[in-house]
Amino acid sequence: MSGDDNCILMVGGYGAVGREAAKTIRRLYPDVKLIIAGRDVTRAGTLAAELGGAVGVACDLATPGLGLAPGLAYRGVVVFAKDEHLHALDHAIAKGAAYIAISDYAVEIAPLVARSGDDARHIPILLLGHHLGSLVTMATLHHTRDIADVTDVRIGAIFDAADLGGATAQADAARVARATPHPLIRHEGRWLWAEGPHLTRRITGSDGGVHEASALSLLDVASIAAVTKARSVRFDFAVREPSSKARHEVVIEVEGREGDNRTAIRRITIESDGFHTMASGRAIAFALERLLGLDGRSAVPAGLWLPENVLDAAHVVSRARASGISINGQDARV
Amino acid sequence: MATDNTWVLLIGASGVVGRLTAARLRQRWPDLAILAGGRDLQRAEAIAAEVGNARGVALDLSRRDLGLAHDVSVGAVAMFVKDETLNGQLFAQDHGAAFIDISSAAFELGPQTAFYSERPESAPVLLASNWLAGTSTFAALDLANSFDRIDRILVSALLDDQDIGGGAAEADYVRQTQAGPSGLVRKNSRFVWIAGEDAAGAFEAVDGRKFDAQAFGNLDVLSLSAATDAPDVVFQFAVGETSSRRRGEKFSHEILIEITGMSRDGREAHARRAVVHPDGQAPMTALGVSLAIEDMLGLRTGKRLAPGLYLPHAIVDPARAVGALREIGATIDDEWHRPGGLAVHGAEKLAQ
Repeated sequence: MSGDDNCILMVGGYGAVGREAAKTIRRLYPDVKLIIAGRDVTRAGTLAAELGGAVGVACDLATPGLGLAPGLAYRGVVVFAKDEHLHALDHAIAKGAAYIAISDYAVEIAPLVARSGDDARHIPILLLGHHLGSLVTMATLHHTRDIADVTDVRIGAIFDAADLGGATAQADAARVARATPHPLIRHEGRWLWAEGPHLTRRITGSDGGVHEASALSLLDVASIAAVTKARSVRFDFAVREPSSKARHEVVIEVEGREGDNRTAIRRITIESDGFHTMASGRAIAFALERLLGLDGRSAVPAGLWLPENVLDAAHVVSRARASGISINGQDARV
Repeated sequence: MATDNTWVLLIGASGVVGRLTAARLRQRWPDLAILAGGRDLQRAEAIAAEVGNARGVALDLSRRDLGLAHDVSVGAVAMFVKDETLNGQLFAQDHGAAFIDISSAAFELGPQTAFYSERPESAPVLLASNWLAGTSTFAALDLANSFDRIDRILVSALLDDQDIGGGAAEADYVRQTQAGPSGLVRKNSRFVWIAGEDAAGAFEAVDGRKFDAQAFGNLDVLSLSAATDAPDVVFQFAVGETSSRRRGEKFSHEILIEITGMSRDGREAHARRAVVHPDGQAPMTALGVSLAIEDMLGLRTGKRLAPGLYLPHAIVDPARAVGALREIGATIDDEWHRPGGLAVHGAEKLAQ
């Protein structure tokens, strides 16, 4: 493998999520080269200069080949936007690079699924349309690994009104809400499109505040159900008044049965200062670390993957905590 | 091969399509062990008796083992009902059995994919929720082989209102058209959701009557896009009176495929293919499932399909499917238009 190979292409890398991912990679792996690509080559170049060992280039997701100079080699391609034409996927296939998609909700993965069984079968594709770059799923799986039989998982993400994400995230959410007005939930063993009373629920934040939350078709629901086989899984989000200090919070309520048949009730919390995009960016970096084998272990092989298939939940949680994100699991007495 | 005590489990065998699938498999593979599964034991056993060399079983889809005895060795699982719990897929993966689903629209693939990617080496999983289990996809790809460059593919289906099928099909229809988006199409090389007026289209039935149609996000759009890279791909359908019924005969099923591009002789061309079956949708859907089972189990070649996640175009050869469609009584007529005008018809009669 030539030195040029030790490189990651980050499309939209100078956005809020991308820049945090890039900085985290730079901090953990000083020798990995980064290509920050986007429509605004000035912003790309500025971030690249800040990072060191990086270049900023112009790139257009609507153009085959992305408008990039030929002859570049990378081990991974991450798109911090919606790869609508799938030209970034085509490009990753041509380069034999791993591909991460972060903007596809659970209801939108069909095009990637179709390609993964076709010409994309020779590269690893990681579906990462999960909240906080899959940190929520990882924290949930890590903090329920000792529960013999998980039966219910209810995830509640509380967003600060000033922290609803950048243009891409908001466009993603709006697009999906219009296209699929009935979000995906798992309810008592069945996959359902939420209607009526199933559409919303109340969630209680760490400060005791109660919020009206709405279901969202994020891949966390599919991932957590696949691993735990829980009968009921849902993801809801609420928006609260902006506070003076930016903060993001996710509360995960779990019910299950212990080995000795006792009922288990656990509350897992994820709290981070700053905008949620920071936590997302870091988690995506932790995913890249494993996907590309930056950690010295084998890179993930070709295939269609969700984070729980290829990431070590304990490691991701540990990395997140080390970066200042607070993750805790607490049992409630029945 | 699913012989030597390994069964082909048909879940929903007593339904319209399930029965036809069982019959076709039995006709072509006399020694294939078929397990007719359903909610009702009596009906399942009646189907098994009809098919011969088969057994009927009552299934409980709320259980991961489907309520089947644990010593039953299963080589393939085909679901003719929506796998709401995903226990059908889990069961297949637990047994290393080929799995076929025909009831999940493009927007519904999330959970199945997550369950698949957990154990990608366990079994081949076929997502075959293309129209009529791949019929329109195969017919379109076969026609597409006559083109060097494809600009646009439009697949229209006319489902007779008397042919909505049994409970499973109706439930699918309601769920997918009400719970989900209007349609997923490929437009200018992008996959986009479209709704309302944008999703409204029209087509001409075989007898020339014009029908309003709704774009529908089934897997045809994905298969055709992946296989041809056509920048514009739309699947639409209408429910109404098929041309045969209009003529005073019983209902049939019509699929109209339009492809625009450059044909192999280097000229701009537009082709229209009409696929019609005089007995409606069921025989063609059953054929789609049967062909998939044959290819996944390697019944003809002796080579089983490797574990993986598939759409029908990645498994079944379109030319073979078109040949099989003709064998079961479908007529396939092509009409070619070149700029400058002459329409050339390739009708069944002429071809013989």
